[in-house]
Amino acid sequence: MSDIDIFRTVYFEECSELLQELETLLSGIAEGDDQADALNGVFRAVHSIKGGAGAFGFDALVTFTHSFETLLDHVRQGEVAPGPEVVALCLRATDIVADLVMAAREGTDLPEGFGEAERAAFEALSMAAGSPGADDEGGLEDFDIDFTPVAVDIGARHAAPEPAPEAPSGWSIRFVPHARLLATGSDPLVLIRALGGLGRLTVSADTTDLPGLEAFDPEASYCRWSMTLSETKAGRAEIEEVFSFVEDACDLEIVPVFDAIDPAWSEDGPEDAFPDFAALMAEAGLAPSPPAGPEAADMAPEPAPEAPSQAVVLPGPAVAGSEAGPSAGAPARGGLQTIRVELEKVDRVVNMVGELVITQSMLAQQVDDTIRDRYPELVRGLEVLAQTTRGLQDAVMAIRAQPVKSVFQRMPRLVRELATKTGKSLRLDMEGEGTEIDKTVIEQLSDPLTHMVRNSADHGIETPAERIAAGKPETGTIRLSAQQSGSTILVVVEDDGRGIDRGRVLALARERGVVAPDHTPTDEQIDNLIFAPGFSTAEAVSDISGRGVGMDVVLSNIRRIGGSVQVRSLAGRGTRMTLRLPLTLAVLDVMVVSVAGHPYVIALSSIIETLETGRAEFSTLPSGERILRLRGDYVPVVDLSARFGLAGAQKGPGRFVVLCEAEGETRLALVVDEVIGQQQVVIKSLEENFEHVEAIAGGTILGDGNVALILDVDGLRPNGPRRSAA
Amino acid sequence: MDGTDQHTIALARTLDGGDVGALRAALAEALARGPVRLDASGTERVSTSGLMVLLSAAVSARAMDRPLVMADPSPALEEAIETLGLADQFAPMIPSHAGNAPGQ
Repeated sequence: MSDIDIFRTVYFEECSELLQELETLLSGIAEGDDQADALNGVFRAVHSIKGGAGAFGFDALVTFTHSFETLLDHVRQGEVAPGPEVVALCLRATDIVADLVMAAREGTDLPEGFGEAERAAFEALSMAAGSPGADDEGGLEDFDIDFTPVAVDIGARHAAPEPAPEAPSGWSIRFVPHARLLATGSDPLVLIRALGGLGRLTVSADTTDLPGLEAFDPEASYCRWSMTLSETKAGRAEIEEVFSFVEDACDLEIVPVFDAIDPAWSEDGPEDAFPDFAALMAEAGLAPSPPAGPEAADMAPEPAPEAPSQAVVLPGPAVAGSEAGPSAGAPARGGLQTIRVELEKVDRVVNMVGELVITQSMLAQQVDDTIRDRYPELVRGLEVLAQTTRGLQDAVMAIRAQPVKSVFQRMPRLVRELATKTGKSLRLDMEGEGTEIDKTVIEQLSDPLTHMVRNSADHGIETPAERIAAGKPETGTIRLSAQQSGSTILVVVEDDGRGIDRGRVLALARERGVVAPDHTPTDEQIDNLIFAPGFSTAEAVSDISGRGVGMDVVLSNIRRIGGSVQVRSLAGRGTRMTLRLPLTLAVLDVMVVSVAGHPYVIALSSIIETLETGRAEFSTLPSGERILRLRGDYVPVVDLSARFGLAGAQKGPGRFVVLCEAEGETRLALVVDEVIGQQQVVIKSLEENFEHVEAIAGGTILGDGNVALILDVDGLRPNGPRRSAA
Repeated sequence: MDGTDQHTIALARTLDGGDVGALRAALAEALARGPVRLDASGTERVSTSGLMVLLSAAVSARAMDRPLVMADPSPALEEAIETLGLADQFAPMIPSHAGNAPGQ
């Protein structure tokens, strides 16, 4: 991968982060967050996207972001009020920027005039502001930033806290651009001009290396600068931010100047005039300084990020309060340090830890009473090993964990688009975006979630007229939430729409043979029919949620990652779909059982209780189906030896019933020969190593070295909606 | 051409990026012929490398002992020179600034 490819990869990664940030900030503004901070964040994000776009020659993106940025500048200056319409325009513009970024990334063309309406709206608003900026008079021709990605922290003037008494009176800055700086389209003039915006700047240039014309190379760097920034409230971070795009293409020294007692700082009295030691150390570069802004990560190529890489967050020291507080646009600055690590490397560690878990488990199983008595030290060592292994495993999994925010944040745009397409008035509420799940789970979550939200908007929420007639607010609400519950994550999509029309669903299900004519499913089972393969109501093939893909895809995607989906609906009140997802895909807490001498494992999360068959009360229905009567409830029974056709299973009352919870809060009683015990197993995919087997979710290697199959409880249900033949 | 006729080059409206290579060639050619006068009144946009090629021309002119003057620098050019702290370097080229090297 060439340097430029690496730059591009990093730029696009950064764009996706910036777009998410934009979405968050604009949504925050819409909900009344502190506008000054958020607007500065929005401005910075758009500016950063534009800067990189210029460097790579993505003209359409530059043109659009430039207009967007101009409007934002007017808003920031208070010349255009950030009312709901302007915020909505900015949100639409964010979607357009996302599409332009995507087109630039994929090298595809967008339709002629794409985003023109928004651009015209920007210009109309900017014109109405009365004083279009100098940038605008000549359009992009006079757009003097060129393709220089400079992060000008305009926020400093608005958002910077009062100077701490220990702040230096100024900064001495030495800036030596490398040849690469000019070659990548950056211009020291723009950087120094931006620096001048932070205070009073005196500049001295050294051009002694400048050759005559015969040796002059337009892309070489012949000048170095020494500057002094005084009468400034800017801290090191703001200065660094100016150079954040070029930090790898220049030598930069920033040294605080404490030479005189500036009357501005002495108001707090002589005691306060003494700088805090830690701050001094930090400012003098003797303690770790805060990392540069996200823009720095953007343009800084890592040694070999061949594949899209993921940031691993490590706790970093916060610098004593001499810097500006984190602004809305850069929440991580100064608090956390991150490094980008290829996911593959993390996965290698995850796999090794998985193997370690198995080995540790095997060792633990070798410990019997004799060993315990004879080698107490060895046993203690093994116990410590078990704890350490568990700790290591948690730590590794935490590295892979990501907030669901990355998926959730695609939804506001989807809902906006759906509102436009359906003509419905939709509102999206989100909660728990910070909930963390394994990266692989997150990747698999996007499609199902998109489909569920589409389904809610398309089928769930009524038209405004229907809602008013039903006495509901005109705007339908879709609520998206995530929370951790034990070892699972619950992701809920609910709407306040019309609910599932059960009569219609059942009629269709019968018509399509999904439900036998003589079978009367419960309400819950009917609701879950929407996940049956090939099942869709007439409206489901609409342009929006249709495309020939039914909700069964949601189910199969979720099941593939060891999750389940449950749907509850109240007629006229709404529908709630709950996804239960494993925290991680790599390891599973299980119960090991034995059936006809073969070990099987059942996810602990799905087990409600176990009981001996001798104490269980079984009955047989006229249909021949066995059921278990339990505290007044009837639960279908599946004898695993019969289900899997295993000979040699035990008979009689000495067996066990494992009561499991399946989809839709249905329960299932599995009859096994023996309950061996709980343990943690590393999941091995059956599909990857063999093929999909019904009712089996995967395989694992047990502590004793035996291979055991992981049961898919939902797949074992005798009358599950997906088993129409049953 | 006897080497004494002053050659005037009117600087372009923009002096940056791709324009710099062409300007370098034009300046070298003009200096080879004799004294050069730069008409900088119409320059609206300039980059650091645009200013550097002008200073490089001054280095060549000194080496060749050829007069090189810049007349009527536009406000945009003055601003860029000032911002980059290059006033001292440009002072000998700009008659109105000679002997009056501005500070910042």
